Amino acid sequence: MPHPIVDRRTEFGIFQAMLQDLRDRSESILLLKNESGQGKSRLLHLYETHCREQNIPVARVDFKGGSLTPIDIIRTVQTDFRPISLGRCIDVLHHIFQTASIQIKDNTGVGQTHYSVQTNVQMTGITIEEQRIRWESGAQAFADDIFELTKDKTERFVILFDTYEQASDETKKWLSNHILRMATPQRISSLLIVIAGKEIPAPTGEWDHYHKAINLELLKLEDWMEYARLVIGEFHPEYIERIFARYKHSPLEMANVINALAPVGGRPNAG
Amino acid sequence: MRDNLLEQLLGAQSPEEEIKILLNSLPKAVSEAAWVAAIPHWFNAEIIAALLPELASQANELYEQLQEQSFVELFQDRGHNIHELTRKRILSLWWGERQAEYRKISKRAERYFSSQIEDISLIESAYHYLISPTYNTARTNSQWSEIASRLKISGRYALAHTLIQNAREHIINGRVPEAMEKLLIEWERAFAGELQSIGEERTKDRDLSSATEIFSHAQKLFADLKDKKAEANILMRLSTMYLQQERSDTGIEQLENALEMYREQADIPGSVKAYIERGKIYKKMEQYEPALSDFNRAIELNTESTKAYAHRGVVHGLLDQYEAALNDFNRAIELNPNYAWALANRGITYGRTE
Repeated sequence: MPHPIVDRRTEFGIFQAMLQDLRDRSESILLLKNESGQGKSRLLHLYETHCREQNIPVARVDFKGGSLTPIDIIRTVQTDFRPISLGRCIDVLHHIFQTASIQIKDNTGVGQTHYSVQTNVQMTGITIEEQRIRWESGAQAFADDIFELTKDKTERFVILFDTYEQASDETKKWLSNHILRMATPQRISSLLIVIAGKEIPAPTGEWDHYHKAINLELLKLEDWMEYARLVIGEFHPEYIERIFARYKHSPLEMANVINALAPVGGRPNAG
Repeated sequence: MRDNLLEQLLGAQSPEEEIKILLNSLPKAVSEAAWVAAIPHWFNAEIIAALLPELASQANELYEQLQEQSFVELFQDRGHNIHELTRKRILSLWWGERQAEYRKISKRAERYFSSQIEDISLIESAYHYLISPTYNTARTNSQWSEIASRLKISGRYALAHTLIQNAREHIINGRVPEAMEKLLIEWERAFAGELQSIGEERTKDRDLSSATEIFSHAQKLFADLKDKKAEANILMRLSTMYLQQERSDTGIEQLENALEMYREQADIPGSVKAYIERGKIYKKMEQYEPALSDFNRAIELNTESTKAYAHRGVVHGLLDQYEAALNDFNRAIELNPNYAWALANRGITYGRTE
């Protein structure tokens, strides 16, 4: 299914220009703050797809549900960066896996292996302090790996964090203290981090100068017209104007309605 | 273009009615899967099969078709979810128009998630049980108690907030009896208390970093309960933790928060304790004027605070104001003749005046 943000070259272009501008100014952290249903997640999804098409190493971590621990984040990033080997990081994870209880299960599909494998890491039988030390060692190993991979190179590495407001306090603290401070010119200049959510982290001294915070602007009528052309094909512009008049403040609802108006049994080639 | 559908949508009287029209415009099986997928916080093909056994053979296909919808988004590691705005409206429709079915599917969801091993699934199971047709309070107590035990073992205390938020989702929307709020508050208070005890144990074991983290979780729960006194007490403990870890700034910050809460509650003993503790930190940081100011304030609030007099006496001594120091030690000893620390400091001060 096409999506207005996915298909709206203009907004994606603006987003990319923003990232380039960030890079030109030696900034590496983009914070995207908007209310629910404004298109943050779709934009991240689009950028993730774009990076994959361009062979730019990209990882996406979504905090929805609030149960991700730092170790889950490292695991996700390591999985997404595959086949790039994060040797030190993997060693640390192996150490953790051997000394902690771990269950890996695939329950996303019925009777088949699906695209996503659920991994649940429970570090039982060890103290909180030991867990913290392991998380920190994981973060350090991760930073070392990225540093080794990127030194003397201009290649960019991207990590996208979504639904920041639902991250646990512990994870927020870990992000701010261990991950964001890596994305500074003094450390790993080729790392780009985007964080989206209804809330965004408060900058700390260590990375305050290397971030930019923005809000997404609402889509315009002409963007929706273009989207409707992709999804519906033939339509009376007046219909989209009427829909826009009602739902312009909620891109999610606009998309829901336009998608529903597509002819049953197939839609025109969305390109 | 489906003109009739547009007219129906623009004629809808509420966001819920719009969603209903949109869902009904989907092919029948996809529509039913979308309705059901809104019940849990996340879904995948296996969950669709468990909640809609009559369509289990098509679950994979339905799951893929749902992913095509603009109101469906990825849920990290667990599959997908219905976007929160849409989900809220669908649940409102379930409750308002298809309540018996909603309860029946919640029962299936409760069974499915309880068969999973992760802590988060047990929490999800407890969420569905609250509106299942076989609900009883004793079972919820036992489920929540098991969750508390598991979180204490795994150390994933933050998941307590997920349980609380989930239960609140039903409470706020009037899907459970009002008594549930009381049950939830009791659980939250008990869990916060248990965390406090674990924090104290860790303090005894000198595992200060761990104790700090646990006290922080307890503090958030007390904040959520709006129990200012308990929260202020925990903040006092946290300040001690930070100070022992040489993090004076954070320690003072916690004390100031505690002080603010004690003031709001007109809690004189709490305020006195907080002023004395902050004064002690300033004294340690060799900031004697703010230290004196805090001890003065403590004495204003409680003219019989032996600790405040004794600590103020020490600061006066450090400022070479020996007469004032002796007056403070004398007053402290007058109030408590066995106050060894004050006696010792008075001795030292006498020594200096000779």
